[in-house]
Amino acid sequence: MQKILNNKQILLVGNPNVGKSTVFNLLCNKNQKTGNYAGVTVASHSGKYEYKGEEVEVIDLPGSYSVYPTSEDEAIFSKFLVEEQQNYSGVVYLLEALSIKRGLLLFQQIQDLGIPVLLVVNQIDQAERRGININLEELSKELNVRVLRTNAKQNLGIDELREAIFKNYFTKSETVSFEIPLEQKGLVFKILAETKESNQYKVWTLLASDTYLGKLESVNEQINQDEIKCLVPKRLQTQETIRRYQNIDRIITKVLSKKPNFKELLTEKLDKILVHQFWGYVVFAMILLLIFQSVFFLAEYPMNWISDAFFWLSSFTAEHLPEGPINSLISNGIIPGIGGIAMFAPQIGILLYFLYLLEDSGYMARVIFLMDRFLKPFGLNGKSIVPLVSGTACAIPAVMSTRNIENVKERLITILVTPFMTCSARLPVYSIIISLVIPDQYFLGISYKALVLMGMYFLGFFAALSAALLLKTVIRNKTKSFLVMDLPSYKMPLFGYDFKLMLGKVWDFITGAGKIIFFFSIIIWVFSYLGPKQNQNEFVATDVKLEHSYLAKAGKFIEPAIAPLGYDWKMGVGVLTSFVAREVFVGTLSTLYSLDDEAPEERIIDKMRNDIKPNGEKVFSFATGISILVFYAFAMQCAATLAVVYRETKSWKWTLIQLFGMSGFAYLASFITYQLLK
Amino acid sequence: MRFPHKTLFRFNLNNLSLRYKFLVLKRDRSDKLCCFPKNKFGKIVGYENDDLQMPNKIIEMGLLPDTAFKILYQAPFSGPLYVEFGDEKSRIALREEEARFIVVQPLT
Repeated sequence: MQKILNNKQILLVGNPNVGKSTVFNLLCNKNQKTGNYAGVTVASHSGKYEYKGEEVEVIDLPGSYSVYPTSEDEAIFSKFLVEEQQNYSGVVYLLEALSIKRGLLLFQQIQDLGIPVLLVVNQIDQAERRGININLEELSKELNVRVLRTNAKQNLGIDELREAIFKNYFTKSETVSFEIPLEQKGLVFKILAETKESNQYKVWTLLASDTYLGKLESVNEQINQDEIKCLVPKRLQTQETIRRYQNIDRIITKVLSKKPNFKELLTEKLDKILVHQFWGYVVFAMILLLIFQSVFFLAEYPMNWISDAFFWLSSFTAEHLPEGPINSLISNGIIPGIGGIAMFAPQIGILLYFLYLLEDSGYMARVIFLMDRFLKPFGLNGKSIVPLVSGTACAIPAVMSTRNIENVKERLITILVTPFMTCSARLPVYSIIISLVIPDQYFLGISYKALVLMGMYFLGFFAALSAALLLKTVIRNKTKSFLVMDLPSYKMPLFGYDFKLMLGKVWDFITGAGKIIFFFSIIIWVFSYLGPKQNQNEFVATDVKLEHSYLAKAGKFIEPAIAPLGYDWKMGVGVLTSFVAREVFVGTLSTLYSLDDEAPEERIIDKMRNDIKPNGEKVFSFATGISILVFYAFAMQCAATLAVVYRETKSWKWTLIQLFGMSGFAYLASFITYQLLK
Repeated sequence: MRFPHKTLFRFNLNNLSLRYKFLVLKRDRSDKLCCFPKNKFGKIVGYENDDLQMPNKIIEMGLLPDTAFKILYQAPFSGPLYVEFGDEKSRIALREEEARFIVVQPLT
C-alpha cells in the first residue's frame, strides 16, 4: 500500500436527483460512513478513497437548488458550504445533462462565493438520445471552469474524476457572474469598504439571506441601520434568481443545440396510471400491501436465525464464562438485550430497502403528490407519508427522514406522531397477547387474530392522525407550508447501491439503538439480580429469583396504579422494563413465569393462559389483554427513539411532551378499555 | 388587483383564511396557474406576490416568466397540480394555493 503523502477533503454538491449518490458510491466504494444516526452531524455521508498516495475524503452533501436554504437539509448544506471553506479543497459540482439549466443556478452561486469548483456533467448519453447536444468546451469557456463528463450508471468517467481531483483541477473564480441590482449596489460597496470582505456576492448573500447564511453584526456599527432594515431578503432572492436565470438562458443558447426529437415515453406512460385520480391510489395501496407482506413473511426466516443465534450465544457464554454475576449479566442481560434489537434488523432492512428503491425510482414523489391533499388537514405535509410508512418498521429511521420537510411545524408534528405507527417492536407483544386472548374463530375466512392485528395497525395510524390534528391546533407557527416539489423522471433503481445503503442504515440502527439498550439492559439486569436481603448478614441479596428481586418489588409497588388497567404485578414489571424497548415485555414476562427463553413460545403461552388469580378468574382475561394491546399501541416505550427525537428536535420540551403525553394517553386509554370490557 | 384580505377574515386559523380568500376568488382566476385549464399549453407571464407569501422555490426551480407549461394532472379534491414546463420538460408538483401566485396566459 502506498504511503499517504497528502490529505484532502472535497465536497460533492448538486441538485437532488442528479445522481450524486451514485457518483459518491463509485468514488468511495469501500470506506463509507452513512447516516447521521452514527453521529455524523453535518453531512449526509462521508467516505474516503485513496489515489496516487493521496487520501481524499468525500463529503456528500444533501441536494439543494440554491444557496438559500428552505429546509433543515438545505440549511445543513449551506452552512457547511460556507463555514467550512478553510477545510475543503474544492467542490465537485454534479449537473445532470437533462436539467442543466436548473443545475446552473446553484453552480454559479457557489462560483460567485469564491469557492473552488470542478464541474461534472452526468448522463450526457441520455440527453443525446433525446436529440440534445451539449458543447462541453463551450460550457467550460462560458463558465470559466473545467468540465468533465461521466456516465455514473455505467461507471464511466470516474477515474478521470479521481485524476482531476488529484491534480486539483478546481477553479476559483476571480469575478462574480451575478450583476448586483442598482438599488443595492451602493449599500453593498459601502459594506465592502467598511469590512475586510472582498467578495461582493458574499456581501449580497448576507443581505439576501433571512436566517442561515450568516449575520451582519460585524458591519452594523458603521452602516446605516435603516438602509438594511428596509431590505426584504425574499425580494432580493427573487431578483437574484430571475437575473441569474436570464444569464443562464444566454449561456444555454450558446452551449446547447436541440434537434426536435423529444421522446419522453416512459415517464409519461407510467404517470398516466400512477398518478391517476383513482388508479393511482389503488396502485399505491397494492404496493403498500406488497411491502407489508414481504416484511412479515420474508423477514421471518432471518428473524428466527438471528434469534436462535443470540440464544445460542447466550447459553454458550453462560456455560463458558466463570460462574458469577458477570456471567449472568452478559449471558442473561446484555446478550438477550442486544439480540432483542438485532432481531428486528431484517424487518427494518426489508422495509427500508423497498423505500429506497421506490425513492430511487422516482415513484415516492408521486406518492407525496397523491397524499398531500389528505395529510394537509392534519397539519402534515405530503412528504410526511415517507416517515409514517417507515414508522411501521421502526420509528428511528423514520424520524430522521423528516429532514426534507421544509416547514418547521409540519416537521415537528411529523416527528412527534410517527411513533404512533405500529412499529416492529410492538409485534412480539401484540402477537403473544393476541394468541392468549383472541379466540380461534373466523370471520368471512379471515381469522379473528389477523383482524385484530390489522386493527392495531389502523389504530396506530388513526392515533397518529388525531395527535397530528391536536398538535396542529396547539402549536403556533409563522412560516408558511408549501409543497413545490420536483417530479423526477422514472428510472431503474440501483438495486445494489440501495442495498448497501440499507445495510449501512440498519447497522447504524443496531449500533446506535444497541448502545442505549446495552446501557439499560445492564440497569434492568442489576435490578433483577439484586433483591432485598433475605438474611441478616447481607446488605443486599444477590442472584435472587426474579420474583424476589428489586425489579419485582417495583412491580408490586406500582400494582395499585395499574390494577385499574387490569394488570398484575408481573405485567407491571413487564411494562416498566419495556419503557426501554417494547419487545422486552415478552422476555420479561417469560422470565417471570419461571421459564427461561429456551422454552418455545407455546409453553410460555400455556403457562400464561392457565395463570389464575386467587378468585379463580384468568389473569390474562379478554379485558386485560385488550387493555395491554391498547397501552402498547400508544405508550412511548423506546429509549432509542426518544434519543433520536431529541437530536432531531433539539428540544427537551418536545421530547418530554412526547414521552409523557403518549404514555399518559396510553394509561388513560388502557384504563377506559379495561373498565369498559371487564 | 389586491386581495382584500384585511376586510375579509380577521382570525387566521392556519391557512383557513387563505383558503377562503382563495376559494371565493377562484372563479375568475383563469389568468393564474391554479385555475388554468388542464392539458392546454400556456406561458408564465409574471407573479402576483404583493403579500410576499410566494415560496422562492417556485422561481428557483425554473418557473420563470416566458416559460411554456402544461398542467397534466391534478390530485383529487383540489389537490396539487402536476405541471410540465420549460425547454427541459421538467415536472413539478405544487399546490393550488401556491400556483395562484403565478400569472399566466394561454400560448397561441
